[in-house]
Amino acid sequence: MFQIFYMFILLAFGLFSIGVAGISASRHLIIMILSIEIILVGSSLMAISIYSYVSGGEVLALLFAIWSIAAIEVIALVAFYRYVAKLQVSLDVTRLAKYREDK
Amino acid sequence: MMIYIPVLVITALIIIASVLVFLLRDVLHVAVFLTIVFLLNSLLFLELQQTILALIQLFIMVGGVSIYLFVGVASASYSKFRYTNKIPLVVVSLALFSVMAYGAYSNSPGGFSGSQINSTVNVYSSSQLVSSFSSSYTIVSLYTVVIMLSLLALGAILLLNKLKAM
Repeated sequence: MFQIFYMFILLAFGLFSIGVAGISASRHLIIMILSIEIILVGSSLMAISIYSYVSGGEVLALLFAIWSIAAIEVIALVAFYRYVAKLQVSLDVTRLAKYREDK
Repeated sequence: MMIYIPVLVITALIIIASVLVFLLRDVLHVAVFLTIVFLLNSLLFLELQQTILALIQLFIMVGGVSIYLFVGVASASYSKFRYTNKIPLVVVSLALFSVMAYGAYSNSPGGFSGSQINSTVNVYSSSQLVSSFSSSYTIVSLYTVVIMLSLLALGAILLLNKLKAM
């Protein structure tokens, strides 16, 4: 019998896989950070699926932690993006090695 | 299987939107599609009959974080460079998904097959979802307000960029 619980778990796995593949396949710094948001979306979906299955209170703490991490990450991302844009530095992560502290 | 059509549609849309995050060139477009992923994720929460958590997800991620992301990204949109290798994206995601799904659903100890999952999660069917929306005007109005606020923020940012004010 088709169980919808499996589908939510598989979707969470899929979002996690797309996020990890995005980190490994992209060279854009902003896209790499935003792919962590996709991973967090998959994690929150997994947490809410298990929460609706077991109705346990412990999963809620994980869910709020995921939301906090996602919000803090976007705030840090925007601050970093503004800073990098002001310096006119390339967002290609393979070129970031040129910008060392001793230069 | 037919009663799960909303879940299947939302699943397809969320996968397409999350892949488009890596394929688009402008960072503002990426932010828009990330917002769509957040919104569809909130709708999946609603499908799982977790209304309060769906609204929290909607307010935090779509109402707060995404608007902040719009403003932050659009105010310094100097980079149109996008470099994502499509072949590694597909290969790595499919390989990782296969490994995770096989590990979870195989007959190995710790897999899901067996007696661990012996009942289904309560999910709204199509008719139940429509009836719950029509009976609860609060949820519909809150979703409408948040989506309108996001669109308003996006429109204001685009207008200010057009006027060279940002």
